[in-house]
Amino acid sequence: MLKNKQLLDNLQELGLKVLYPEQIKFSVGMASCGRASGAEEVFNALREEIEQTGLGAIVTPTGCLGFCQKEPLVYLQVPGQPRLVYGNFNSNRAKELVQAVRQGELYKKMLLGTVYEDENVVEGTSHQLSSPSFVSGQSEGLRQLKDHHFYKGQLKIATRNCGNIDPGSITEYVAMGGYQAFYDCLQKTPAEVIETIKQSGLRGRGGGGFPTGSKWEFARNNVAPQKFVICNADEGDPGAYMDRSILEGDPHSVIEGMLVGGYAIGADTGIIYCRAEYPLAVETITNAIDQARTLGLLGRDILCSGFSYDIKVVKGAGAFVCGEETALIASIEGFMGEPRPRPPFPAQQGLWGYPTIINNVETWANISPIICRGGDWYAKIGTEKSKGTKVFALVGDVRNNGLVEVPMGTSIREIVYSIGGGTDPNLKIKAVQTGGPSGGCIPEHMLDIPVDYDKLLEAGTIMGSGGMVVMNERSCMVDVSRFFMSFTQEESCGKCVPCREGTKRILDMLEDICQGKVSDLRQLDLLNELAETIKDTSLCGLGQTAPNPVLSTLRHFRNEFEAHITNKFCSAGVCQNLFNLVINSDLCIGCGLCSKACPQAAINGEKGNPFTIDQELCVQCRICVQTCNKNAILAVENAKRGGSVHA
Amino acid sequence: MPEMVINGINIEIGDHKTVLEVCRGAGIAIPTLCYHPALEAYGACRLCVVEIIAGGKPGLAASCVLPAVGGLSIDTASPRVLRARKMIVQLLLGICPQAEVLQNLAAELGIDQRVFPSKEDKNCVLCGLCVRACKTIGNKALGFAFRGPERKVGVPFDEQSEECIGCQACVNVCPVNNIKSEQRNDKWIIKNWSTELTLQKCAGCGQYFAPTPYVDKLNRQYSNKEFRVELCDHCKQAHFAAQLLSGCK
Amino acid sequence: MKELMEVIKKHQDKSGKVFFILEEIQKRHNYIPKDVLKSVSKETAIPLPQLYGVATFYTGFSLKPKGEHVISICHGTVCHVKGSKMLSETLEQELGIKEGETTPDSKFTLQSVRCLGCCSLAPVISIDNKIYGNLDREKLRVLLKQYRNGGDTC
Repeated sequence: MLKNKQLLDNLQELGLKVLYPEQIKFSVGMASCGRASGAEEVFNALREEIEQTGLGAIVTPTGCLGFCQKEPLVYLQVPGQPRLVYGNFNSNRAKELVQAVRQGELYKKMLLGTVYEDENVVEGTSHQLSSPSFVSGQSEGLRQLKDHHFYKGQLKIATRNCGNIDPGSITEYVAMGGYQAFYDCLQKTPAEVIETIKQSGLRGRGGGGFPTGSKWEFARNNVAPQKFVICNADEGDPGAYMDRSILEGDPHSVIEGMLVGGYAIGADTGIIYCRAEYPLAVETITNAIDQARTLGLLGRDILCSGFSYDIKVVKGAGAFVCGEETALIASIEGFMGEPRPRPPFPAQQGLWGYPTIINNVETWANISPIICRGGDWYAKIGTEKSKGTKVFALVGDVRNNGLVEVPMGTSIREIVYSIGGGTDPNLKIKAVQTGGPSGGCIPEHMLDIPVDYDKLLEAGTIMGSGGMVVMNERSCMVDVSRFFMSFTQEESCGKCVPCREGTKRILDMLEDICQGKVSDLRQLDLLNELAETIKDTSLCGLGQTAPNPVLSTLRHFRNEFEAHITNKFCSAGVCQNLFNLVINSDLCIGCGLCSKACPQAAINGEKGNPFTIDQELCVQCRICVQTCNKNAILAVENAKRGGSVHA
Repeated sequence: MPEMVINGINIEIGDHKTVLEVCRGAGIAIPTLCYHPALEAYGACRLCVVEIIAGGKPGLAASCVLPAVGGLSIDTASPRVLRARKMIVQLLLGICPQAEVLQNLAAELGIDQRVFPSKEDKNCVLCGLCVRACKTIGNKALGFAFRGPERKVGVPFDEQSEECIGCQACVNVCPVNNIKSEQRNDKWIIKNWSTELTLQKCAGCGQYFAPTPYVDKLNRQYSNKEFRVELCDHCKQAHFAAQLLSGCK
Repeated sequence: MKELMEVIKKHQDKSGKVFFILEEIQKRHNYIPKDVLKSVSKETAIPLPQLYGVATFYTGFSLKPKGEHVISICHGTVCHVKGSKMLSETLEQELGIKEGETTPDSKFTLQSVRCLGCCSLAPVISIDNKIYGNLDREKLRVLLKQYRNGGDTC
């Protein structure tokens, strides 16, 4: 049991030896994305090959480095040499790598970059793996990972340890300055701790953007016999998985944040409410809690301070609405996830009626560096009203899918084009969707908007939890708004009339528009008006933001709605029966791939000459569109609905 | 004495907890559907929204759950409020078009045409008054189930309720008269809850007068053995009248 | 009944109690049987309508038995754009059931889930919590065949 600072320091020393051992170390990204791509096979292959070849090396698991497109990721650390980071690995490459290491050769296949030094964000120091002038005749001219365009614009604070440490090892967490912040807090008063968080300007990263320090202050000032700290890990936005990544890659950062929060407001109980759909995250955080308890960092009289605190994990049961604070509280109390009127706010009357602070995973992960480096250090990063960094899940029609952490103020254009690498060269980006079902779509010409809570609000969307979905011209914006509304309808708790009945009506109208059943443009006015009422009168954040996708697509892409209504035409080629597919003879190279893929045998032609689609046989399944490498297949107005077919 | 401003007029808050209570106390009419003064406020129908002008987060808020605090200024019938109310009534008409309370509201708000067609006319507006009444007065037999468009009110598994005592609180409180109960020989049937209860015979005249579980519950509550529930209203009145007369002699 | 009492005894702390109890019941029985739910109400004094509400509100709980293998189709934003509808249609065709239903031989339950968080592998499904990505019609049919023939795959 850790009783004082000396022991924490000793543990850090030990941790550094584990993190940077004297043997050769292989690490494999074993978070959910990695596993889904085959990381377990790679891990086992490395182990087997090492055993067979008798190489004195170890293999350890690590979290997600963010480059999900390149999973499984493998890291090779030879003492005294820069770390080598590989992507898109498989069992064969794993075996080859081990053999190359055995022979002292540099394995270059799938090498993403090198790492010469690891930054310790919490302490503001860095650990040199090898000198920059390291020359072996082989590693000259190799690109550093930090110069890879995916990583260049990033600044990792919340995800500082993800992909760098073994999430199952508390010693490695301590090696990177872990639990120093909590120790520092115990030497301060709770008011001083809160002041530091206020100074930092940290705002809730779950989407609400409420100033974290102020929230803690309200809870601190409410006198009550008991108080609670909750971590909202019910990440439900489709396309967003930042929180899962932090829980799977650096669980102790959340535990430490919650310890600080508990100390600051005077709570003795923390609850992590995690989606049941994240079994690996639940397992990882549960193990981390056990480790912290064993070391005496959770429990009674922690570090002889008189402060007692423990954390339990409660799994969600499949309801998106439980990401809303009062619904989350209701579900912990054993009720349906129905939101409750606010005021009173959870900081006044929360769980079981007691003052409760609820913060998102990413918010908690930011606490430790802020405490150690100071609120003003954090406040220097970002914009005037949005401080620090934000983690985004950059997904969709973008070359580099993954998790990126950037300083607030970075433009969406930079994230999508520089970090993300843009989209398929034959296609144009049409819009970027942020904020999940509560957010909106930003058209391409507006992508210079900086990532900032208020600027995104002005543009008709929200920061949200960090989902950033890139959509190219093959996305129909009417269909996108229909998709989000159907999501919201299913997830609505059903308590209040505007959300339950209103979203149903909006969904009906959007479905009719997508099926070409609407001919009156005035339906768009009704759609708008109903959307505004739902926004104005719904009981909770889910209902209040449910109309955002519709309102933003109506605002920025009204022409698509009008085309669906007036011309019964879906230019993106998505809405069934509202388009025909034709091959552009100028772009078609006659490769015949589409013809082979067509399940209806509707495409014919001679190799080397433009092919044609038989409209009688075509069922618009779009398999040909997805197969074509030249973007030569277009959606044109449906002849049967009065449009003319022209190539 | 804390005051708030309603439609530009200063009004004392007094003992009232919510803005709706202050308005009602001052004779200012605000339509409601899911509100009942004897039951916990629910805030679900959103008909009672008012516009916060100052002293709180600007925008619309449900007055039945909005705490009345000094310095709050609201408007009960601003254009924004009326637009929202009309749309909510339209949504309600879309599910329960024949409900008198909704038709009256529609007339008040000047709605002459329904905007949302109804696919199938449901009779329940999901106001939850029956659930809250059953919780407060009855035996906690009712609850909500399912979610979103599937949400409904009822008894678990839609089968005979072991908790229902037949107190009729739900029947009386339903704003759209959707809950039906009737006597069938020696049984009391509450159709909506698929529940059948035995009826108690009056110890005086022998007529059935109340469901047995209801009588049992009341008797359990009274520790005074003299005060037993075993007579129908008519016989009870006769009994007490006789007692009064004999006392007067 | 004794097992149920043990489960209830294990979860004394009221925070999350209902979820913990229902989850254990579901793990044991593969669903939440009506009589067990009624027993929970009696033993914990939590009103039955409240428990019934919880069991029907959350998609994680089921009052009907699930199949041997649970197939979850991801209907997140990226999967939707990349063809989750096609996966839905294929599975409904192959299994002869709709989403939310279980095959008559109790082998498969088909359900939808909103985002498994593996967007770079879209479109994605999970079978018994194991994730399969980058699917098309053929790959899906092959996968289904492997599960039909017993056991999971690599």
